[in-house]
Amino acid sequence: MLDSATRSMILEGILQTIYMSVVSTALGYALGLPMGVLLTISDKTGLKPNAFLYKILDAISNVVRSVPFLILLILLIPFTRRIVGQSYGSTATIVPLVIGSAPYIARMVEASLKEVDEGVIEAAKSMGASTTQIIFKVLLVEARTSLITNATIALGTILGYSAMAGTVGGGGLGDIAVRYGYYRYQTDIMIITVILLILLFQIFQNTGMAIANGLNHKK
Amino acid sequence: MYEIEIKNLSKKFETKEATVDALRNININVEKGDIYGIIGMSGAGKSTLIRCLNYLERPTSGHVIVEGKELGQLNEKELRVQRQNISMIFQHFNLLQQKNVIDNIIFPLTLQGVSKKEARAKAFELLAKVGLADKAKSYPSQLSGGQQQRVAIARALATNPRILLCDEATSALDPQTTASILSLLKQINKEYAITIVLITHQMSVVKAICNKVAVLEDGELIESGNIDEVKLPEDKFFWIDEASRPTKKGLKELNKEVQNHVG
Repeated sequence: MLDSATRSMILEGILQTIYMSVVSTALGYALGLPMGVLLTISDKTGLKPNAFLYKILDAISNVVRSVPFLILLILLIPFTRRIVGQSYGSTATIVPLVIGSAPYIARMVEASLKEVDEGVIEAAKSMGASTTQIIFKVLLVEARTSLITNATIALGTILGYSAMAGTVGGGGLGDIAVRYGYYRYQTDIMIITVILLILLFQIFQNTGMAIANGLNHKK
Repeated sequence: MYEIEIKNLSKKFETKEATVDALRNININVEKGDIYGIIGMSGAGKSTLIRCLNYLERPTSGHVIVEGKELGQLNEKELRVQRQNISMIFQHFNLLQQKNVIDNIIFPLTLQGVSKKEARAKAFELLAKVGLADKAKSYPSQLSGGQQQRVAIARALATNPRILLCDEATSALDPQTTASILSLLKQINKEYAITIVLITHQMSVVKAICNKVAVLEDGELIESGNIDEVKLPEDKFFWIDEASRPTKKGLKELNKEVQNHVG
């Protein structure tokens, strides 16, 4: 049905999409996880309330989240060019994906950590645990199922956003869908890319949920 | 020297609308080896009071002196070290849900940096002591309430504390399980010479194991002393409803059961 050039292009698109989603999610967590932990502990009911820190993180998170991703993508072009050396292609797309996703991730981490039973935290305190010990040995451990479930959601959302980056030459399946399906009216290629995106999403989702459930001992 | 000395302790909670006097001018002396019961209705301030004994709550004024050390004068680090001497068990057990039984018991030891091997040996010994040697690999969600409280007790004993605080430790358990937990507490008190302070709203708990008792009403201490000397206002307000008030016979049976458990 497709010639070999098209097939290898689609294959490359798949790899680029996986590369962008996975690397962006990982880097997004590198920023978002510590930010989420800080939001949790600096909140007024947290372990170390700090209104100043909380307000700053809260503001950063809200400002970034209120910029639509497509606009953020364009807004960040000079910054991306400085870091990656170019503003198109899959590596360049990782920059806005990380910056756009980190505040969402931080909020999801915050929500997960706040689900941890207050009583368990109090028990750890009564044993003489320090704040650092409570973060690493209680909060992150007790919340891990919820954290992984949310990481799965983040990966799926980032996958979708990476496709959106295709409209400005971001590489990956989204890029192919826009260039062939939209500009050249090659509906068959568009449909194939969409099906592949759905399949990728399913694989990410099912793997993530399987890991989360496997680690959960609560139920 | 008293094991725990509570002097002129008051606690106020400030809210935007009002100041609440949770505790007013409390004085209690707990001697080494006591099983000291503090009884009161919900809202009487007993949860706040017991949390002042390990400074999970900071008193607004007054002193808490544990083994000669005034807790209010310790910095955060010293306080954390002191807390390792004062274990606590809770109404809802508060076990780590994502760790199995043995890792829960090891937990306070790992906080202190005890080697995994040493901690495991200690944990297995304690697990046998509380009668759950076969549950090492189970998770809390797979255990009954009574079993979870036994695990919590083993966890509390792991650090060789001098004092055990019990925060409504049997309130979520049925009468039979309550009796077995109480007898375990009594056994611990004898065997390890651990001073126990417990708070409860159940008169039967106080009568079953305490040698001293204080009655807390609306943030104030209205009675305190040896269990046989204090006049306990049993009929006044301590049973939530008629159904939960044990008959004289029921109380006798509970006592007998505790005695049987202790052996």
